[in-house]
Amino acid sequence: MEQLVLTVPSMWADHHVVAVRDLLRDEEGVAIAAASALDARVSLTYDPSRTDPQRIAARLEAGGYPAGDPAETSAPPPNKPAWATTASRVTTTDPADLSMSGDHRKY
Amino acid sequence: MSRYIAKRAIRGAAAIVAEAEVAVEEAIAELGPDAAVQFTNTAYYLPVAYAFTGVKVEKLADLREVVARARALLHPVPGDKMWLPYLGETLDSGVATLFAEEAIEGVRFARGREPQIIKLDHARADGQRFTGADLGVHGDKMKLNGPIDDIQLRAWGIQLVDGRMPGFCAIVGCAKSNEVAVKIVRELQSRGILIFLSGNVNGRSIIHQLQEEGIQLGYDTFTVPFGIDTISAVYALGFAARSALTFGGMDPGQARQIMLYNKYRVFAFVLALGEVDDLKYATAAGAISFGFPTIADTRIPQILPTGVTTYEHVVSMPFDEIRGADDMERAEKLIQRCIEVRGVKVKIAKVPIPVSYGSAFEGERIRKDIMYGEFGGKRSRAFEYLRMRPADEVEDGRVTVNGTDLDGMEEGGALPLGMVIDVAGRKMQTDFEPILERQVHYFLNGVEGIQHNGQRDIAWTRVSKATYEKGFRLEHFGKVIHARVHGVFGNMVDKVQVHLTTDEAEVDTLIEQARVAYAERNARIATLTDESVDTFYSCLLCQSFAPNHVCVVNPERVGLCGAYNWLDCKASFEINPTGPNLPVPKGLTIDPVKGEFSGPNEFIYAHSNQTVERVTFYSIMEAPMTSCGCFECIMVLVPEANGFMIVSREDPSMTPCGMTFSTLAGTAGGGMQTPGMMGMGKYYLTSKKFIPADGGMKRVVWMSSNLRESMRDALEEVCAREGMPDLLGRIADETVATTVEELLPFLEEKDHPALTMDPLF
Repeated sequence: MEQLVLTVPSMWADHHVVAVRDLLRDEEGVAIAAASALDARVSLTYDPSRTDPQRIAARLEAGGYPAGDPAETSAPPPNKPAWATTASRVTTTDPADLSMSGDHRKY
Repeated sequence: MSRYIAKRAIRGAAAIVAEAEVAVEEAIAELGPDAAVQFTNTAYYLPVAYAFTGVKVEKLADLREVVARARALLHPVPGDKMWLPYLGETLDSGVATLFAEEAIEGVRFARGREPQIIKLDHARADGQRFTGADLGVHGDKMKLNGPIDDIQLRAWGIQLVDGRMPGFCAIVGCAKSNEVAVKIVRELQSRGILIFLSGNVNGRSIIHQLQEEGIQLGYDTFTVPFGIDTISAVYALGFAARSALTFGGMDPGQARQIMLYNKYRVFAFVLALGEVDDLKYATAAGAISFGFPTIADTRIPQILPTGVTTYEHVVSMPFDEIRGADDMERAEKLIQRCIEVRGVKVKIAKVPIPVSYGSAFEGERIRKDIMYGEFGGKRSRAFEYLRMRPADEVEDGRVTVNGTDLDGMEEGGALPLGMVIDVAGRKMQTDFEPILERQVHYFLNGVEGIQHNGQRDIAWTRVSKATYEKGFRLEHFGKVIHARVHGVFGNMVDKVQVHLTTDEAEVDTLIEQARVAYAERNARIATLTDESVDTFYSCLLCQSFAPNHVCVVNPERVGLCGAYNWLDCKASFEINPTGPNLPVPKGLTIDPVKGEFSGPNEFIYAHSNQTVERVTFYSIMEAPMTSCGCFECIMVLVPEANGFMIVSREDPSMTPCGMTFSTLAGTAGGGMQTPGMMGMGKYYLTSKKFIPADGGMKRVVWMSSNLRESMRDALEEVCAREGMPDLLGRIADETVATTVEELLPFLEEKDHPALTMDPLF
């Protein structure tokens, strides 16, 4: 058995981990050791007589999880935040917030 | 604020919003814009989005607005070198995450993919059936619960907000092992805390772990599996949002009020088990917006300052680094830490002992012929010692017994007994130790067949034969104290452990430690003066019948009724911050001799229906404190004698002013401020601040004899302190004078100092 570690940038949350595991579950000769959403990385072992890294990567890519370099999966707004453009940001403390602060429960 | 957390949360929010946008558009393209979106049995649409924005989602097209609102809340990821405040941005991203997660769940419902049906890769062969309706294992598959329905919301939500249910824990991820998963859930269940399960690590969820161990999941066991991904954790926040709408009287769209309501009324927290990815950070940020902190069992950055949450926001407690003998002990400590961080108040519904418990048993006497055994009294020594300890040194609910138990003693015998009670709590203070310790008397007397007398190192406890025969043993003393301390002092105490010992050597050792503490407490109380504190406390209990009466209790002046001293009031305020004992800041000193301060004046004016404008604490002649009707004694001016008389409540006889106690009480009571007349607690007589502006003890010309005799030793000390050791003998009582005509000759004969002091008016 050979070991293989693939970086899968789009596997950034645990629902993607489930999806990736489901994709590889039925792949012949593959056993997943670990799939980490924190590192966006899948560690697996495969039987080189039954499959190969290219085939495994292709299977992942077909399922929407291409292996590749880590990158931002979805770029957040590059410019100013919403409050800066809508001028709706509150810059003073609401007295109602103050009155409800501290240990005194108001409800 | 941790930039790492902010970056992760903001990045995760942006990614999940993007996913939600794609999911919604794909679903609309496939199913049509009018395809129904409906969570299970709820009238609150997508509850978080509905509560925060008022948007009613009924079909797929409605999700576009939710997703658009989520995108509007996104912010740039904090730069590596540009340091700006990003708490607000992180919280916005958290809420955006919740909107996006709900939108994705809405799509899943439209597609029929919720509640989730999961494969039981690791399920045991025999499987376990589940008790929740429509929730269970079918072959190698298991249907999870999905969101809480409205019927269950009503059943649980009201208990959550009125305090009967301590709180809920949203567990996200996977525990270190199945055994740890079970232990965590059992620890939470034993405290009555509701448990919501979601998330996974490496594809494995705590739901799998509990399933494999045969733990029943569902509404009946307060352990609800939402789904095996973090997205389904949004159901926990939907539950919280609906609680505010249903029980808090909030309207949809009142986002700020709903979040604050949850902060103050719903004691929930997130327990992240295993690695924390971007979506978990983002979802945790959403939970923090509700005031719910996150505790992780892995090493992550922490956010310890308080603010949006009552205590810490994010706490890291790497599981393997928790001090403990084994993983079970580590799991216990993890849950205890969670409870501390959220300030969850544990309620123990029933005192767990084999005999009845209640106030009806408080006056019970255990005579020798029905006694099985005793601790303390004439035949042995017993002591009780309650001390405050650091939280990590107290294991809540732990009761240990060393030495011979009741089983090992002869019937009718006696054993020494040491009882050391360790308490911990964020609001606990060493000043409260004696107040809590004093309650042991009441706590133990509530047990059927137990008689308890005394306190400290003069405690004396008897156990009846019947109680012993029903299975009562020493450990039950500890269980009673644990339950009752939580019940009565839950606001200030988070943890209680009790050690009982009948071992002679250990009792000898511990009693010496206790005596050191007793001596320190005595010294501490002696040093508490009006000058040494900046806050007095009110007592407004009597306003039910004396609406304008405001009692202000100082360190050197007990309440009029004698039941509350300054420390009692301080503790009472911690227990019930909106109760009758409120802090009264001293403010500016207006007159140090008469004891007039700006703070109490303002407080009293505000709380006496604007009828009492000023009060002096050290004088009865000028603006004295109002009197309710519960006072132990009443002090009244005797003009002819240039002094005061003090009439005890127990004294029915006539007094030199021509009125009995009851007539005087009717004249001065009811909340009136009457110069020359004032109700007082009898121990005020022993205070250094006993009317110093009017001359102190030397002004007392007449005193009820029962009062003098019951306090003779203490009063003689006061007289000595005043430089006149024989003063008590110069004060008249009802046996020598019930009229002014009888009083004056007596005072002249005794050469009473009041006769030669400055005129009172």
